[in-house]
Amino acid sequence: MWIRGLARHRAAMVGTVLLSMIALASVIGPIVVQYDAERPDLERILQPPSGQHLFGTDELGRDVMTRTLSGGRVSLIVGVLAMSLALVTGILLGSLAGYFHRLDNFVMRLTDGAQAFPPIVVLIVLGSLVGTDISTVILVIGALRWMNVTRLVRASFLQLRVKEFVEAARAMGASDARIIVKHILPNSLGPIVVAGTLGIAGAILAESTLSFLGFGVQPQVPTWGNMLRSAQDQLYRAPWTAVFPGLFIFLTVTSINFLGDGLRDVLDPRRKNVNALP
Amino acid sequence: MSLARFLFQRVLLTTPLLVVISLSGFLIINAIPGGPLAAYTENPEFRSEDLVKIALQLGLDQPIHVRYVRWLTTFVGGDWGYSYSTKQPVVVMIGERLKNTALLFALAYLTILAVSVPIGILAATKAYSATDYLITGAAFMALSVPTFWLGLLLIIVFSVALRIFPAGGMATIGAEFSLVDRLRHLILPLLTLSFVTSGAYARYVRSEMLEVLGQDYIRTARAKGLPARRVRWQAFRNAAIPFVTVAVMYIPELMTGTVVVETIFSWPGMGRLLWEAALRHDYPVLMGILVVGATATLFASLLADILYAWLDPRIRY
Repeated sequence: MWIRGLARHRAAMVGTVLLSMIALASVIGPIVVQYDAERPDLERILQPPSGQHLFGTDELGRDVMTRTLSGGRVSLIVGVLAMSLALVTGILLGSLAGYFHRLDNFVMRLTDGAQAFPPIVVLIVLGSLVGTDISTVILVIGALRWMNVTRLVRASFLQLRVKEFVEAARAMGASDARIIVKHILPNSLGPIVVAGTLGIAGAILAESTLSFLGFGVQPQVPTWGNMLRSAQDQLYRAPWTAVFPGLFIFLTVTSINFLGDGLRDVLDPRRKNVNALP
Repeated sequence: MSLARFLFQRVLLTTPLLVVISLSGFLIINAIPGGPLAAYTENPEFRSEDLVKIALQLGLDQPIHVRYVRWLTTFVGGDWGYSYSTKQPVVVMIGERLKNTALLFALAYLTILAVSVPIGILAATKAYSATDYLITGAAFMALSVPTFWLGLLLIIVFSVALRIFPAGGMATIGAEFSLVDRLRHLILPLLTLSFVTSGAYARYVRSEMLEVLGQDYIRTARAKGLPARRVRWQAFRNAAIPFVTVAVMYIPELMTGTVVVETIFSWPGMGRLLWEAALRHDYPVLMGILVVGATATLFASLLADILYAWLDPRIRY
């Protein structure tokens, strides 16, 4: 149904294709390519891009292309998982706030309070406190993104709560839980999907930033962010170590943004089309 | 209601948030491994009896709510404790760095406004034309660029390859003060910091202007025969209201960018201090920055609300 509308949106299609290519390359690439992403090869340090090493080698002799593709796995997974966490939390809190009037005030105060902290400060302070395990990184990034989702879901629920189909369901004896889950929630999915998609881009950027600053995933396991961190020391001798990982972040975020934009044009009930890149 | 009452109400609402922020910060410091005496326990010169004495002196045996109140009063009084690593008062450290960050931040903000608003308006007035697609496409790309990558790329191109601009610092060390020198050091960080947000804001300006241009009163103005320039100006005045509020929304993003930019370009500001302090687990400094940052964000949103209410009398609820 709405997928047809999406398919007509050229930018969104470009984004989807590009994103799928990157995801596919990240999953299959490191398996197919013969170089090891983590093992140093000290004879081949800092070689520029060549036929053998398409993206060159880094300061420990590892093939940059393999590491970039490998890093893609981590960055993409962390981004998706962190955003999923934020979505679950946001939907839970937002639906409660939007549906139950008494809870609304409390939840919104909580959300406002959480949003008062500048995200970078939270990112760094939490990052330095809780260590650099991948699961904690996911938690930290998710903790930064749930507030927006909550607001969206709440707004949606406030609007839909007073509609006739809710009244009808209640008259038929449906419990609150049932009304929330089976009636209101499916109708508010539009903005949630859009926010979720665009949020993944944000989560990927957050993970990269965190790893770049040294508080995210440690350099043994490559992610796009920590590759750029190591590349900082090699800018004069080996600029290619910085160009490629960042390029991949850029391409991934761009394609997700294209996709999210297309989704927004298709799913947003207002559909004013003023933002459209047709 | 009047503007003054609105202001008063908003300030009243903001204060409990400030308390919450300070409380969270305080709890975090006390929850860290090693506790607030971490600096001393690491140091082998302190014997355990000394530690007990220090703990008593600092009042650490008191229940936590008493300690919080005591800490709060000293904090508000201006004593923010001492850095674990440099032993300097935290207030002094942050104060030194604050002006450098403020310089970068303010200039970046101005650049963003100066660039995004005209470009966004241009794209809106020539909507769906080739110019528009060019601008929108460029803005879209700009907002997807990771800031730290852009910074590194700019260094590669302008400092390594072309050697026009320095790769870091605020000024050349040991040299006399020179405006040109300062500008040369300023330009790459400034560019990096403003680039991404300019793209995002330009897109927003364009969409707001388009929405306003589609309104009935604009059609009326055109039908009345008003010259295009005046119509545009009228549209701009109406669009200016959301411009202002949304501009404030980008402040947290700009703060993130500032930390990254200061780290890459070795700019001696608060963002870099945050990074350094976190690496060294220097909690008093971290707490100071947390409070400063959160307060700044709160005041920014307060300012946005005030401006919005001032510009649009309908909103005073």
